[in-house]
Amino acid sequence: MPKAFAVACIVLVLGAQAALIFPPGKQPRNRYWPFLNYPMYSPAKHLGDSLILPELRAAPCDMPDSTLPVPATTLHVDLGRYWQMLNALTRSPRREAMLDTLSRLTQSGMHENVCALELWRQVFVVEQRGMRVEDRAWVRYARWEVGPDSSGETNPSQ
Amino acid sequence: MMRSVLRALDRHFFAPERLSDLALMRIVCVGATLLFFFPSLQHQLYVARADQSLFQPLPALKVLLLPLGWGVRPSPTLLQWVWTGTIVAGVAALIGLFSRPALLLFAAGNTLMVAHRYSYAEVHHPEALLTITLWLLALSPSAAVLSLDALIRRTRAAGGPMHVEPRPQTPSEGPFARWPLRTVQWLLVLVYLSAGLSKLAAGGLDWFNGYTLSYYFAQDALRWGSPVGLWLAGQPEIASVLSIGAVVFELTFVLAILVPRLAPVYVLWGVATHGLIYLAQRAPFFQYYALFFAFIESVRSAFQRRKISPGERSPI
Repeated sequence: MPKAFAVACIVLVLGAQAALIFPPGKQPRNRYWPFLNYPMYSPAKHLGDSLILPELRAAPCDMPDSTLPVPATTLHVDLGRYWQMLNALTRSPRREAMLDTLSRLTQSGMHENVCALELWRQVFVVEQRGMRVEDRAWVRYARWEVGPDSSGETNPSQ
Repeated sequence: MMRSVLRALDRHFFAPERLSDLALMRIVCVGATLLFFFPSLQHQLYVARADQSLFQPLPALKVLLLPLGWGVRPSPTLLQWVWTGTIVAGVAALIGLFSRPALLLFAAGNTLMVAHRYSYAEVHHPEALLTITLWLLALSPSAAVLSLDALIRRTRAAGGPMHVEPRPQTPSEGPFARWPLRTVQWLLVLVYLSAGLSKLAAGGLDWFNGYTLSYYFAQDALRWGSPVGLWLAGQPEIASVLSIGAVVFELTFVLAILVPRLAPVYVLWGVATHGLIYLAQRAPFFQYYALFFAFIESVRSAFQRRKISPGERSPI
């Protein structure tokens, strides 16, 4: 009986792990944690590819001409999730819903009314000598008017 | 044919092994989890305050919290209780007191908290194998020796508190001491195989062009702050060599099991690889250092073979 139990454990554990890693690819299969596949860093990169660092900034309603950085800690999310959310702002199908979420989380995290959100980015490019990561300027990518009375309509200025 | 395969598998997983090897694995894995990898209460409470819309419970969390309802979100109070109870169970599991329930509670509590952390749409990999390993240790005789339970058993067998049955001259062995260690070894093989095959499937040979790893060094170095990573990002030739080394390691790790004398090489290679990954990319896979203890028998045998001087070797 103990041996049958041990065999069942071995088959279950190794079977579950093996089932998740085949076929191999770049899509993560995270749903069944702690059984995962490991496709991190698997896509190849080439000369000219760009690496983008995004940052969210907010314009408080009482200082509409200035913006304050909104780090991941303000939104109560991990950094990876923060990047995912900001990347979703650059993709049309999910932009509206994500803007709504970010607007709500920013207002509650900063404890003040926010009238606009801005997405800023630093762009690095793969060059002949690898990635050159000297200080690059932050560039405003888009601005959306939001606010407590906002109907959710966006006004991206790119 | 089928019978010989089954016999070989039986030997592979159930040949007698020192119970102390499995007990050491328990001490290392539970001790390392308690000291270094245990989820911080502060972070648990931090994510517990996140917006409800961000909560996407993993099945592991749903199952563990089933008595409270399917998909329920743990409250900060519950998390505090679970965190405290898990620490107490972990200390008992480490010293081997009420070992079986302590190990089960520790595995369950640790799983619950890590699963809770990853129930906000961001999952990381370092804790996964150690979490599975804690369950394997709980379901096996990992506290049969090197535990207070074993000491109490020996005291009782000797007839009283002033008498302890002497420990046997040779290390005790058991048929169920090997399978958890073997299972961890094969889990490591599968995980590394997944990483290696994914790179070949998604990146192909371009993955070794140097620019790929330069890009990832830069990405993580900028994200987490690593001077070593920033420097390596500008060295595509070195990155190319490192990328070949990484994939060769991942695809051939199975040799650590199939050719036991190579186990020390792969363990050292793994330690160096994860150390460099941490220095360059700040990806903390130090849990694997504890998991490499699953190769303790192969490493010990390899060193014992090296200790035999040439004159003592058999002429064949």
